[in-house]
Amino acid sequence: QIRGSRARALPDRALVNCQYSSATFSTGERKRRPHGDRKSCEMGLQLRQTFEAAILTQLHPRSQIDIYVQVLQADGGTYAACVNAATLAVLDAGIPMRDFVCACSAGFVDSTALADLSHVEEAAGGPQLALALLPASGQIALLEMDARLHEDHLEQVLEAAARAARDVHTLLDRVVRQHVREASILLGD
Amino acid sequence: QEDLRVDGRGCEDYRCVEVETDVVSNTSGSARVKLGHTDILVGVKAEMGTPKLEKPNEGYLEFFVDCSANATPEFEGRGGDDLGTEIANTLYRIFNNKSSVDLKALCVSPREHCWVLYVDVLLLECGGNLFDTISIAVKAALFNTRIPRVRVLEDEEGSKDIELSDDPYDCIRLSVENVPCIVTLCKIGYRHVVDATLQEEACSLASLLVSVTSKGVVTCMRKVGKGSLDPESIFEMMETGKRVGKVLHASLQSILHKEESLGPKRQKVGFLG
Repeated sequence: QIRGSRARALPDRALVNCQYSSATFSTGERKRRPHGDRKSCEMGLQLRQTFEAAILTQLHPRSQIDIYVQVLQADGGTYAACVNAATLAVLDAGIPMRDFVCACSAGFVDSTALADLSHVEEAAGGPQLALALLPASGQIALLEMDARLHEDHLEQVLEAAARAARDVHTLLDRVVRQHVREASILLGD
Repeated sequence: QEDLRVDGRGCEDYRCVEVETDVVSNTSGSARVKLGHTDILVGVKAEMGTPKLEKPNEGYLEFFVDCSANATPEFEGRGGDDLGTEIANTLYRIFNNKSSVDLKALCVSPREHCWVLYVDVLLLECGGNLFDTISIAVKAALFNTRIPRVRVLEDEEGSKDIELSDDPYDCIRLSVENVPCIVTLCKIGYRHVVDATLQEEACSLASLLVSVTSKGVVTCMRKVGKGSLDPESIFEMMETGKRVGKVLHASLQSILHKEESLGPKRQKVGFLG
């Protein structure tokens, strides 16, 4: 059921609405505005793009799916953490998805590809890549890169990010299966 | 009427409270409080600033309340701002007296430098009784706040330089003895109840917010709600508020001291428990 403007209702698909908000005490320096600033809007749009690719929106026409992400503490790799958390939340809500969406960031320093950058590494200014992957099919939902990176190194960095995302997928898969097993035991299945 | 509520509590009983401090590591102090379904996270960041003109010898506190969209979808975008400003203004009022927090301890050099404590409240989930939970969380976070010790060095020209102490454990702690807690009393029918759930709040016409310190001193009182209260019930509610407030403070102090005494090796549940 849609709040806000009904004119935005899509007749054949569900609308995915994402909001990214980070707490004012989440980063080293205190942030003034938790949401509504440019970075939060941009993150919201990126999350929306990622999840529109993964959620089976045709199954829920004329409805809206809201995904609200709240960052409590940020130490680099916020986009990746948001995507992983939102995947679990959407699964927990029972909304059908094509596949898990696993994300990881990667960078390139001193001719080595690094996976999952921390805040210090991100602030150092090297090239950064954010990758959101659907592991089963290997399809990429979102790929974003900042700064300059030589084309030859792209392959290596992409491979590092994909490998890390697949590791995250194994972990998420295990957790979801365990949760479902526990839930079905409790329901007396 | 018979001192029995829907969930079996008496009129003056609180729901089960869970308090945990030091949950966010890049803040000076933090606390998370869960009271039934209400979930609040408070982070305190200490930064250097200049003292206010009318109080050159004191530091100050700044409050900011953010209602997360996770609590209710109406808080998306700008929706939670009204509630946030209302809560922040209430917090300013209850801390607006000389005895709550020792502001002189926050002063580094008069008229030039002082510590400003930015207290940020994040509403994660709303389950009734927001004000009480927020005040408990603010008190716990202030208790947990560790402000690094600074030294002011003066060189020949008279320009001052602030030097931060190198030892991360060398810090000043605030005394939260006199920090008040809010007790909300909702009037339902002829009786008043403490710690109302969402359903009880929906039934109540008016409530009284009383901010009480651990010694039973009332620092601020406010009536909210569309209904009206007659004067005798206000006095009665205030007495109940003082009584309940003292008990609340005593149990909060004991929990905080117990948590602290477990030392750095204690198991942190954080958000994954």
